[in-house]
Amino acid sequence: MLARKISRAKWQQKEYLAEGEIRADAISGCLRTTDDTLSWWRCSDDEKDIDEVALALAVGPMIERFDKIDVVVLPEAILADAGLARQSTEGGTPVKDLQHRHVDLVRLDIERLGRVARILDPRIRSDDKVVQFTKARLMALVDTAIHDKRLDANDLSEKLREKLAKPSDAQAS
Amino acid sequence: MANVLEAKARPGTNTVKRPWPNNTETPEPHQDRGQDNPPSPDDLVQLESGSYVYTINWDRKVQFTVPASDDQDNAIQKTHGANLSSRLQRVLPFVALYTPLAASSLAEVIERLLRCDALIAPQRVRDSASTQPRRRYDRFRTKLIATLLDEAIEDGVTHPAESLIDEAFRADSSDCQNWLSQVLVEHYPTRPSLCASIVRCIGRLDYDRVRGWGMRVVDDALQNRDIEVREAAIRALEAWGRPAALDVLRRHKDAVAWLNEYVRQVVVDLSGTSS
Repeated sequence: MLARKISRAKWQQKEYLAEGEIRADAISGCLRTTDDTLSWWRCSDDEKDIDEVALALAVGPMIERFDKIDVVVLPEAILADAGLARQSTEGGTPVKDLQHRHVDLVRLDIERLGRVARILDPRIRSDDKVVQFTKARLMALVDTAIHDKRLDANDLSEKLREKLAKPSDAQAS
Repeated sequence: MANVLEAKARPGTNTVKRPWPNNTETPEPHQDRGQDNPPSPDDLVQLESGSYVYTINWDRKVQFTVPASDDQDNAIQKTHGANLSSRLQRVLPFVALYTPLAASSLAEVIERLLRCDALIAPQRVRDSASTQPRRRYDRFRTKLIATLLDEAIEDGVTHPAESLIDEAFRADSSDCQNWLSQVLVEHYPTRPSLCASIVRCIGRLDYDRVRGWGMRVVDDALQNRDIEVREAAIRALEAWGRPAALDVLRRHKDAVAWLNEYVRQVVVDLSGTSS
């Protein structure tokens, strides 16, 4: 399976679009490419393994806070059947045993990116293909990874470390 | 019209001298001029454009123009035995005194005083106190929207709009709250995604900075018909994590299943920490 973070609300149908039309905001917001590549993470269908993807995403190099994320999951074969080339690359996560799980969809053009959107659209709208990770769930995953010594807290941004030390405003009250 | 506070006076004969005691003391900040604080001779200045600028106090000026007319000059001369400048000098010091009594704007009082006293019909009366806040709001709004359109908000990643809002909050939290509320009201009908981004930025502020105002913004956003706006509101409540946030979430029933599931999960998460 392949998994990727998406903004679920951007895929919801708008009244000014016809049935089956996909919002431009979904493409520009959730399928932003760099060097014509689109980042994914390998995982199994098992929920615990999808947690690993969430962990990799939750401690990415730019991350400074814990925000709820939605992860869409789909069989890699569907992308292969759609003629979308994949290439394993090192993932930008400080969890070393997850770095090898990173995959790029490569050589994308507007037509192939459109194919990705068409594949994702029905899955994002169906409840069972998207896994939601709340702030508390992400923090628990990161805490566990640090405890299990899979992740060095010093590899996290300072702000993220502060958030782990002071989980929520609720505890300050 | 030139900026009231930045306009340059006409060189040479620009200053209209007054027949008042020559008190050149600088007024205290925020102290409107009254009987105990007589004007200095340069409180009334005629600009190169012909407009007059009357200084009320250190941060408040009013600018207006008086169309030149021989009939008007003759009428003033006949009634008061003075020319236009002299009459303006005589009348304007009463403006600051009458404005609070009349419960009117300073611009309205100037218009009435000049019309009644000297049959002068001032035009384009502009009070710096009423235009400055609007200009500051416009600047903030323009910058905020440009920043949000330039770069989408990413989960977990600090957005440049946050420092813009933080800066405005530090300058004047009450102004900043009003501005943000106003931007939302103006843009909810046509730009829900932009508003969702603003709500997300608000949700990233410390709860202690937003408190009741923040809860009202989020409460309002929860009722919005747009899913992105409602999701942003739930994110804010999740981030703040206070008992008040938990109460709002417990009451909220969303029409969209996955959003409802998000609410349910956050309620479970927060129930463990906010008791």
